[in-house]
Amino acid sequence: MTAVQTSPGRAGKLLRGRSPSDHRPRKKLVEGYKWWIPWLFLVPTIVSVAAFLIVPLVAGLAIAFAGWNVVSGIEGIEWVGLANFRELLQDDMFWESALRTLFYAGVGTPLTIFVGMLLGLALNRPMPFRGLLRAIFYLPSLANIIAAGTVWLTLLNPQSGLINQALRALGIDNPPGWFVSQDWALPGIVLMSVWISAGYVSLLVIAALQDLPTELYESAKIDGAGAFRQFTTITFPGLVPILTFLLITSFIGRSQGFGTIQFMTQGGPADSTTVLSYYMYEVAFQQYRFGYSAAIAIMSMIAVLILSIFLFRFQRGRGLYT
Amino acid sequence: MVIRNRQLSRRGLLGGAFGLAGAGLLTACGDGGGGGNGTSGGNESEPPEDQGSPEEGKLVVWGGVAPEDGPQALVDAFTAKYPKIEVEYVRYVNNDEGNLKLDTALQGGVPIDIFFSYSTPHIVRRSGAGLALDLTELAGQDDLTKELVQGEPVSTKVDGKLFSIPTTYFPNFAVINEDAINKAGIEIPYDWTIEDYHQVALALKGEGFHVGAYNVPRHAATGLGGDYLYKEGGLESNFDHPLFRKRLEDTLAWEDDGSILTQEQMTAEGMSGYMQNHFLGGTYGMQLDGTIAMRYVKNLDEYPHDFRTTFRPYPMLGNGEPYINPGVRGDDVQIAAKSQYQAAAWTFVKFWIDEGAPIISESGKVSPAQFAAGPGNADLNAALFGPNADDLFDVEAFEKTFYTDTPPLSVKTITTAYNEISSIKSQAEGEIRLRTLSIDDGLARMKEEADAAIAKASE
Repeated sequence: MTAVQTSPGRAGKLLRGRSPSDHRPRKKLVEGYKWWIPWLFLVPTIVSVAAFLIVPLVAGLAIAFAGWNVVSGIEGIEWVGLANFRELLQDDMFWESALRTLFYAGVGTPLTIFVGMLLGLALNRPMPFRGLLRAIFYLPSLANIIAAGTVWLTLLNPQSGLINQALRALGIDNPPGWFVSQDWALPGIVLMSVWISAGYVSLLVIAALQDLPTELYESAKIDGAGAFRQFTTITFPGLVPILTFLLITSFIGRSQGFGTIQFMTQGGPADSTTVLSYYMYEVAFQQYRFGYSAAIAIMSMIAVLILSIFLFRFQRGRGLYT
Repeated sequence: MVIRNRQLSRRGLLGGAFGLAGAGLLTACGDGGGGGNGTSGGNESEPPEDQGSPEEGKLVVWGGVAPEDGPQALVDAFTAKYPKIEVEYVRYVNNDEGNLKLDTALQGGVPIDIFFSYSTPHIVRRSGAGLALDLTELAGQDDLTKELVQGEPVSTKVDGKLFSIPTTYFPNFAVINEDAINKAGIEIPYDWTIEDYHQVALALKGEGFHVGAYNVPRHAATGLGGDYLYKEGGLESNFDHPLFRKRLEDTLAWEDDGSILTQEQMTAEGMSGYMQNHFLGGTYGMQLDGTIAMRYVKNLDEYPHDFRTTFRPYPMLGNGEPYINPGVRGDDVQIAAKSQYQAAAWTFVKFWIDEGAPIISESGKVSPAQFAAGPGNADLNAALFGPNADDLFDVEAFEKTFYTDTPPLSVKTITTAYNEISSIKSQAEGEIRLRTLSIDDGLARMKEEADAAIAKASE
């Protein structure tokens, strides 16, 4: 008696109603079927996901409820319940860092996407050296952050930087202090991040534009739609799926942004660029308060998750999916 | 044969994995007394049985100095003298990430026998966690180290015990462009004050430097010593002490009159941590530093300059005021509690601070024993100043500045929430220097936040 004939499972259900010739190869496949065999093949994946994703995640979650300085070892973990989270709610630095993160991600991401979209629209049109231009605009996203950061530190030097010299030439006597000013350091970082990422956005936008069905434009033209109308009713809705993807991934990426801040400003001047990820680093690596740092990470993760879900839900029904 | 349909739902799988991870974590957190060689965290752990002897063993040394800057030559000299002790020197970068790497390596059982700790908080943290061997008894039996355990503390101790041996004697002093001083016709006394320092800075600026000096001397550290951040035995911060206000007032005034760099200039030019570049490059004519400055001054290839450098002691607050040098005995070496070759490790530590010291001196470090031997040490001078000593250095002024017991060096004995307080202080000082926070508000904030950090750390 074969397993197929007696099994009430999904395999049996699938085979029901098929012709005998259909059954034959399937029958051979399930002969000697053992339920654990598929799991055996999944073991490497399950083990690696557990080891490198779930265990660290659970450990991070657990540490958030503890006081731990690493050097005392695992024996030195002291469970403090919700104390880290209670402290966090009263920690001005946490809230200030959260606001800065919101500014960095909330302004930087849409700005990058807007600039990238404009670039993509422009570079999608026929023009001389189009390929070269696309490559040039894409290059910054390949640049090492140290190289890019050094360029921007030079460009935005308040005294000798090209940008402030240009602003002075335009008659602005007191141009921004950029990375030495508490008010301008974070906008400076945002500006640099737009420069780095806009090329990448433009590349995806170009790909999406080339994927839009041309017949829609033809119909629109016949109906008398102008360029602006075509953009608002066809092009932009057609870009919504890719823009949403970019919005969510860029938002998450910026929320976790650390390298740029670490290299450019180390959170300064006077903490004006200390975003949550940098604050986490300070708390963990300088103060050796790994439990509190984990609590910040958990809160940050929850906030980003909620905002990402909101962004995803918000775009539903607004895009043109082909 | 009947096959049971063993479908495992995603929810079940995820739950199981989380459960497994949680169980693993809780098991790990249990009272396992883990750790290699049967030791664990805490001061009570017994060191493992020594597998070697004072002249035999296999050592791994973690230090923050690049091997080519002296440690490798020292290791070579050591193994030539003690051929049965094998030594591997591993460099870690002495920054936040590097120190955490050392901490996790020590905690995780990576074989490390000797390691260097470059600040009191690190020494205290590692010693308190049972990662370092108590050296009190060993140090007391050796002429080179017995001063560390006798009388008043001269270096870091933890709960009255000695867990680290300082390898450098590192007073702070003024490093000055002698040519500029001579050109300006200034005579600088050896018992000068912070106000004298200010006047010299102004004079240097008058000589065409961008500013006179790099920064303002540290009033509170000079007047109060190593624990200047604390009062009441470490139960409260000390930011209401008038010396903190005085320094901030001086800082703003000196920025305004061009005697020192402004915060904006330092940030814009990325000057923090690279003051030697700007001293030797002619941005300013004076800085407060230590013997490490010799490393750069004598390196004409990387720091070309054509002036001689002279020295003066750290300026005092005023005649008759308390006077402590903000410098320390530092670059402490520690023996790992889990080392299996502790006798050989002690041999190596003694070699480092004694016969090995002149080798390290080439990178601008002077050991306490070299300091105690006094001036006129030709070998030390050759190592410190290099072949062009007289062209580049006022050696006589250095010896007069360096070889003195007064003022004493700072000793830190309190480290409660030290890093948090340092961070609070530097943040508020940065804002004050940027003129976005008043001195009154800044000091009040420092006091409030530092006291809260101390209270939190003391819970």
